Amino acid sequence: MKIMKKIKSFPLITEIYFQMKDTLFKKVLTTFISIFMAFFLTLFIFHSYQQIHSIKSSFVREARILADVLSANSRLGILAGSEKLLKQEAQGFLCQAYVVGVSVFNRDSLLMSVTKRDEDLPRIADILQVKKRMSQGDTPPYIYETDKLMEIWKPVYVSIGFKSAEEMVLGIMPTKTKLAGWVALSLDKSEILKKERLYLLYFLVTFFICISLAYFFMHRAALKTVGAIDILCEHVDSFKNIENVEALQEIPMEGEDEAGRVAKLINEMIRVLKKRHEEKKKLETQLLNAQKLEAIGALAGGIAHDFNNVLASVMGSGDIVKYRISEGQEIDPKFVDAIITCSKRAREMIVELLKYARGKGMDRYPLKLNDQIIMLKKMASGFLSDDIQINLELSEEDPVVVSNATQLHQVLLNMLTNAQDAMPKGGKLRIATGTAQISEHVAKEKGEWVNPGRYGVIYIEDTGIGMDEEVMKNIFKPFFTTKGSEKGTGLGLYNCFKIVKEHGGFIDVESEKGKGTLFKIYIPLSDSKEVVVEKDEDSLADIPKGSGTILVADDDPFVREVIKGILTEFGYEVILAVNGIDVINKFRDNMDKVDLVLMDIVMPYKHGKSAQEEIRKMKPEVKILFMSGYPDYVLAEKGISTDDIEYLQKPIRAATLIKKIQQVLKS
Amino acid sequence: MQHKLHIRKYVFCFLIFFAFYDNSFASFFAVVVQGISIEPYNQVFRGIKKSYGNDLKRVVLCGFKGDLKRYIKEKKPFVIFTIGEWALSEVSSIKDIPIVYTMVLNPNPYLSGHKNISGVSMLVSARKKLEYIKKYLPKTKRIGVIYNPGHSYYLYKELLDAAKDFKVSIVAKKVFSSQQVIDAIKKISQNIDLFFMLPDVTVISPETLSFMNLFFLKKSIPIVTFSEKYLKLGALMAIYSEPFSMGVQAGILAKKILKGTVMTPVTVCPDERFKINSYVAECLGLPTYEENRREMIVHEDNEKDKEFSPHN
Repeated sequence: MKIMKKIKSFPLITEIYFQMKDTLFKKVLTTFISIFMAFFLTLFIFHSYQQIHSIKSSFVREARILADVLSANSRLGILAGSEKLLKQEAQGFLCQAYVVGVSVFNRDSLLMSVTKRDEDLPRIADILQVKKRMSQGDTPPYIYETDKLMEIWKPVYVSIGFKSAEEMVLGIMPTKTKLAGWVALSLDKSEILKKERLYLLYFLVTFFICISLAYFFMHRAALKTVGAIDILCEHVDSFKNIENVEALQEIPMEGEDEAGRVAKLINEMIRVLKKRHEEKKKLETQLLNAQKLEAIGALAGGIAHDFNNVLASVMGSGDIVKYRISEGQEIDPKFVDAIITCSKRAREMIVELLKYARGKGMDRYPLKLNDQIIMLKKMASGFLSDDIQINLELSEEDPVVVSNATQLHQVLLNMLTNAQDAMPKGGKLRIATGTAQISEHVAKEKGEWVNPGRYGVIYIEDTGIGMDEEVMKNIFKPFFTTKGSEKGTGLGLYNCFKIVKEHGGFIDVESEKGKGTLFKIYIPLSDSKEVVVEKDEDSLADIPKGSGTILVADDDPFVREVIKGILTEFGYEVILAVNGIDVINKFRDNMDKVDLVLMDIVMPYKHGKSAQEEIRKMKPEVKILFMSGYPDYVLAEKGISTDDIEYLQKPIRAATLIKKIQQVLKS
Repeated sequence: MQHKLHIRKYVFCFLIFFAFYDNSFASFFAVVVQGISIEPYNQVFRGIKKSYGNDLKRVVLCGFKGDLKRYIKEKKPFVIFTIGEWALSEVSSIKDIPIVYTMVLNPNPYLSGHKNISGVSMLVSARKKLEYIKKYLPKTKRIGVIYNPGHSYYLYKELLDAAKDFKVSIVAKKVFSSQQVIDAIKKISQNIDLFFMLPDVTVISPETLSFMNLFFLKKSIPIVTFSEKYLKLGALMAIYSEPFSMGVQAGILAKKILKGTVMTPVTVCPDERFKINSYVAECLGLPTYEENRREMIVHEDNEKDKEFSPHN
């Protein structure tokens, strides 16, 4: 369309034409111009041929007339045998621009007179040739030509005279003639050539003008013809982004012609599309809601599943610890470690879950597979039954993969849980690590997200009941379970598959009914061998004991009691408050001895920040440390910023709490 | 009653016709011998018929296959008319029947020893022509003429003789072939006031006529010719006789011969006519003669007796 507008302003024709896209307009224009050019070219060629032929014919005709006149005027000279007379006559002819020579012969072929402009003027034919043609019955005049010259020969006839004096007296003129001689007129053809060249120039100029005019008129005609189609095309071009249905605009074209009818159909189509798009949006919204519900369900299922595993470990270990305490037996620290590790695992799961809920991906970092397997074994010992014998086969290569420990543990715990389920009567569980080279062919076969290269592999092999082909095909599908709806959610292996896929890896399964199952988990190896070492910063061993009074406010009694226990253990006096008003009251009552206020941000009746204002009014220099089970973004949504306060995120390890309190008290 | 009145009227007219009818000439049957059938000869025939009457039998030699003399003897005409020289030559051997010739330029070769041959001259006499010349071109002193002595000496001689009475001199050039004519024209043009054209086949040809007319016109020398046809080619003045008029004169002459009122042989001068090319006259700066033209022309139906002159 821009080009069309340019054309309307009529710039250089050829430039516009060749810049023009290969549109229907161009085709129509080309067709019009081609037809016009063909027509005019044919016309001009025909006309030029006629004109050039006419120029030559005219020249020849004029030469013939001159020859006739010369022949008539030479009669007396020939009759009188007077060269002088003949030369006088010839001089008159040489005045003509293109006459260059005149020769006269008598009937005996003798040259009577020759008059030339140029002495070197050649003769094209001789009298004998001319006489031969005449004897052959050829009608004169006889024309001989070279490229530059034309020679025209004409016989000179004179009257045979009056038969008698009586006829002469009666005025009966004699009609019969006799041959008296010949005249030869030499003509310069350069005049014709000049005229021909001039005409060709005229032809070219006229042709160019005609074509230009034709282009102008044809352009207008073509524009009118395909203008409507062009408008259609312009609108149809917008259909390239047909996904954006809302941006589609109806074609502002009316009329009952072909373009109008097409426009009407397209407009109808756009209306239908928009209507369907609206319906689709509604359906999508509905579907989204349904999917959200489903996702929430799936997430809840997943969390519940993983949490169950963790809690199983915690509860199992706790039960054993409690039992041994009640029996007065020594407590095996491995059970306490299992409780702490699983709790940490649960906390990390919550952190990751919150990250996930906020749309943030999980952090990944280089991890040594062997270390993670060892940690896994510790975790698994809390819930795996004693009749399952765990064998570790750690690779000497010590493969390092880029992963997230929580996610990796989630996968492996799922695998172990499944293995335990597959071995209700106990059995052997082999956990091994290794590396593998994945070729391009295998990578393609495993999935489009899989790249060829080196992979770290975790082998988890049990000697359980195994699976048949049909089960193996479906184990990674969501909600597929063989454990029954009460025991299994059908999301464990599905989550594993998703996590490994997110790592760019894959899981292979080998199983035989009644013999056991082998899971091979492939995760791309890290380029770096450096790993993130998790430091146990929560050790209470090196923390010195403190002193002072701390006002603890939390609406959760368990939290209050646990915190009180920890603080009391480290030498602090603790005053407890149960809500926002209670903390203000307790602070007012114990204002002089309270060194620090540790309170939940969100509490009944008055939240922590409001309580802080009240407390600071009473004692501005008092140290206040906040804590909350809500993540930052939830607090932000509630209008509570954690930027300008001392703050701890629940769950809080004892070491972390003590260190933070000591730090705040010192500040 | 009316019918009877008509019958009486017709009877009266019949009696009057016979009372005045010249029955002495009624039976003078004549044969007209014509060389070829061309329009001028046919006009002569019509002239003869007009003046002599209808008792004529025409024989056109061109196409006649019989014996002419035997035919004429069988027909026993009172007089024989000839039109053209060929016809005269065919019948000139007949001596017992009067012959009246027409359209013969020079009958002299046929006249010697033939007292039965009379005729009407084809040309207006030189004297008459000089009269016209002197009348309308009075300043003319030198008249040029070109002739071949072998062909037209008699015409030159006639002119020369007549010129003496009109006080003009004749400047003559003799030519013996047509190649000499151009040169002769050029030479004679230097010393003449008027060119007098003689019917000479050596001198006059379509080519020389064109040249002559243009050349003399360029030199402002008027040409006097013997046929009106040459006026168109550039001659100023034509003094000539018309064929019909000659026929009429021939018929009258034949009647007179048969009546015995004229002694043969005689040659009658033809009635002359005079025409001027007014365009040439203008070119030459001469009067156009339009006002006098009527009196110049002698009409063909003028039947007054002409002067008869014996053969030279």
